Amino acid sequence: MSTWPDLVTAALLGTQHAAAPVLPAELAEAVKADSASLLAQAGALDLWRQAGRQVGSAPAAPALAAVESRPLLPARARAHWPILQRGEFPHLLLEWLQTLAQAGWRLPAATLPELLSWAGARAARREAVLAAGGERAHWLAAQHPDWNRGAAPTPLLEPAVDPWETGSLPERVAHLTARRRTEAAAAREQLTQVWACEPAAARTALLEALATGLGADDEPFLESVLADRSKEARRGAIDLLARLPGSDFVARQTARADAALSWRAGKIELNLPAAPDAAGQRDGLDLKLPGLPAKLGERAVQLVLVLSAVPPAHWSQRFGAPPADLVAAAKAHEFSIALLTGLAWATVRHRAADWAEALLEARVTPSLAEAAALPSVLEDTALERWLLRQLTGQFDWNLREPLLALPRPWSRELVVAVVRGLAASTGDAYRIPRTTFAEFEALLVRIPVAHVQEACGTLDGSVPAAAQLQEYLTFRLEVLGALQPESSP
Amino acid sequence: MSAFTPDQVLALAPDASSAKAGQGLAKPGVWQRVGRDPRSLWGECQGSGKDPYRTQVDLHGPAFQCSCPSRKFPCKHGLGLLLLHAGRPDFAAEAAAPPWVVEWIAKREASAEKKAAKAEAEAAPPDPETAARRAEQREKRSARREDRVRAGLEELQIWLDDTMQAGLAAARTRPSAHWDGLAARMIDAQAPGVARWLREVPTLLAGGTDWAGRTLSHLGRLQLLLHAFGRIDQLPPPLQADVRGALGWNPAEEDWAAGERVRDDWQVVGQRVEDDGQIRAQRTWLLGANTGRSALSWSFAAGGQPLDVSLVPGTVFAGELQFLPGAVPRRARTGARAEGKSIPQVRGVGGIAEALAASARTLAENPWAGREPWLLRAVVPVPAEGGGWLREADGQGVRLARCFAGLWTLLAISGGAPIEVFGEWDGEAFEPLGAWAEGEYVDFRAEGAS
Repeated sequence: MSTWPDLVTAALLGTQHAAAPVLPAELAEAVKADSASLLAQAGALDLWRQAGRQVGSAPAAPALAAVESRPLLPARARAHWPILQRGEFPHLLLEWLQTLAQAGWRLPAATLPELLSWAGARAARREAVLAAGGERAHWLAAQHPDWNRGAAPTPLLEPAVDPWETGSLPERVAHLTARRRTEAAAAREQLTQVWACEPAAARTALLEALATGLGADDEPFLESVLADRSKEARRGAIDLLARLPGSDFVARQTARADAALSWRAGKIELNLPAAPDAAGQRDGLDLKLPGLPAKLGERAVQLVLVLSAVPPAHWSQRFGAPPADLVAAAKAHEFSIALLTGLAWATVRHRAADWAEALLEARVTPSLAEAAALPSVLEDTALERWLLRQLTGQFDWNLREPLLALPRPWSRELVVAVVRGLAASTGDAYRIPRTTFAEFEALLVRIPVAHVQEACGTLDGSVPAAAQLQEYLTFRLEVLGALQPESSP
Repeated sequence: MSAFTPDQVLALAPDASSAKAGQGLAKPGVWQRVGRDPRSLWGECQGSGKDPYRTQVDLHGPAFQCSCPSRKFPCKHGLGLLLLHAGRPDFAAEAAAPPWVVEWIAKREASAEKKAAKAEAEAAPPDPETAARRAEQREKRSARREDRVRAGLEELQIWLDDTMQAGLAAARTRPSAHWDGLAARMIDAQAPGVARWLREVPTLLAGGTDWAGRTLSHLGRLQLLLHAFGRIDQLPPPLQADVRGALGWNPAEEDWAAGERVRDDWQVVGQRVEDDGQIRAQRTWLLGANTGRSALSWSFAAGGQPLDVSLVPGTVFAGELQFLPGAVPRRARTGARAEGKSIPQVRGVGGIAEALAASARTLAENPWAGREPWLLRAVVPVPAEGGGWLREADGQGVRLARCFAGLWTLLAISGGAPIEVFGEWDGEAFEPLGAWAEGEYVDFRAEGAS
């Protein structure tokens, strides 16, 4: 029936320009179409159309989700969802989901869209949501393009396209990194083949993937990159070569370092390297290090670059002195910043735990980010010992990463030290600001449940920040407690 | 088991920030001296003041009362307490209510009785003399109003004719203030229903594809209303009531009294709130489990005033509804009622074809009935390009409204299996307001609002 479109056209143009179409006979009589206005005719016809509307034909339905094997989360635990849903406690939410899945419960299906959006592409979140959401979560995620990323291919999916050929740069890096884990040589070969035609930014990013599964076989290729056009790509190759103790590159830098340093009567004697020749430039000795203090001269920077590639064990062996003595000597030296930064960087690169301990013991805090990661090199017990010494008084932000690196469960002693430090972080009169609290939260969820009561007990509840921590920790205990199977009615 | 789920309690919040604050207070740590009896729930919460706030909830309602100074209603304390109770029914132990609770409940009962008595008195036939006098006054008032409305609508008719003569393409170029001005004139003419109708026009004119068709059908329906009012004396009385209702007459107590009272197990199946910046209008759909009748309960609130929160979607109560007379009586208000319970299995469902047929019948009786309530049985949500569908086993279906934001939640709770969905049909598409899956009600009101 085309009367309605005609009527709409007439209405658009106006009755002064267009005449109303003829209504279907049955309707025309009912509304006395001859005398009725266009609008009255439209009203009648529209009513008629609407009353005669038919059922449509729907698209095909999705496949049925598999039957759930696990019981639905009990009401006492579901009551926490509205609070966790606010997103104020993302770490607790993640812990809640993980605990929930471990305890064998299943999330109510209605929570899944929000949680899958919250997880996005973050692997840990995604894994937790999928584990806690049961079959339904997998089923739902497979149907939404944004929730499907990183998922293992399922029959519901389109055939996967090759991320290496068509993916975005991060996707290609992820692909290459994954391949390095299983077949390092083939992955390197894949990169070598396209190397010449990739732009500099891509070369630099893809090269980083070789850090995974790095081995002596990679040396020839990395050596070739030392002559690359891109300074950033060269920097990447140097960093990887410096991590290969048996590489020619490390040997070359060691030779340069040996020429610069000697050991006499418990003191380091330094013969600053000369301006780099062509070979030295190829090995990156002309690179700038923006993280260093500006007062360091070019030669001192060069020293840092040379030292950073030499395994620290080389010095203990060559000078016949323990790391502590060598660190003390470096600290007393006129060029202490360059020496200590170079040694610390080498310690991080070669993961020399004894050197890390000696450097941290001597309270060396390099300004260069690459060299500052010393705590990450420590063995767990040494790290905890060091942290306990540092955790006095107000909380030092630099301790956050080392604390997160410490394996769980935390000891009782460490828990008490951490909560005290956090409680003291804002001074007595203030609550912890929301953004700061979000940073703290990553630490608070590391506290073993068994120690929470005690941790709360050591806090003075009349101090706002301490009360805030107590409130959070108690809430966490309650949230996790509600998931315990033995408390089911 | 509590009558309310946390979702239902959150749906009572006057705004999003109250909901959040309420959630924050739904922790056992912040409450003291908590207790409950079959009728009420109470507790004390330490706020920033010296004395703790006394918070109480009448579970037959629910209704809230709190000694805090908040102007929001219900306040975060009331929400928090009920939320806590919903999540952990064992938290509040059975106890004897303290005096401040007993007093409040007694006051509420007294006022309910008074209201009932007043309604009774107005409904009861007074002595013939008073009755005659009242009827006379009523008629006078009504005649005066009809005159004003008639004058306003005559003006509107001229205006509409001019608009149609120039065409909708020309009307589209006019500023929206033009329509607002006209709407204001209709308020002056005591036809607020027409004013509401006109205020929607600028949105329709500015719409996307088929704006002209949509505007034409909207104005066409308005034209039918003007015609109907022009010959209102010739219409059957129920339709007269519908026409007056559509024009914006507020029903008088006598009108209510003339309506039918229906006892049933009333299932509260869906609710939505519309906010035009000045007035919040809440409509709550109810469906009789035994009679199969649908009812619409309105609540209006201006400014920060509270809306009625006693009808909680996803619950059912045994009680009486009073219907306003009409060709298809639908607007209703609650009378005496018992405490609400969760609906495990909704009753009164139907297929899409049945729903369409019923809607056509309603339309035939009352062209201004507005959105149609559909409770659909065994439909599978299907995501699709530009929205989604609800699909029946035989492949027939209905398209979901584009503005519906809860498609993925609907999909999640269904898992590809058929579920029961309640919502509104606007003549073009279906907008879900609630759904049942695995014996639980999921409220889509929050999805629409955020």
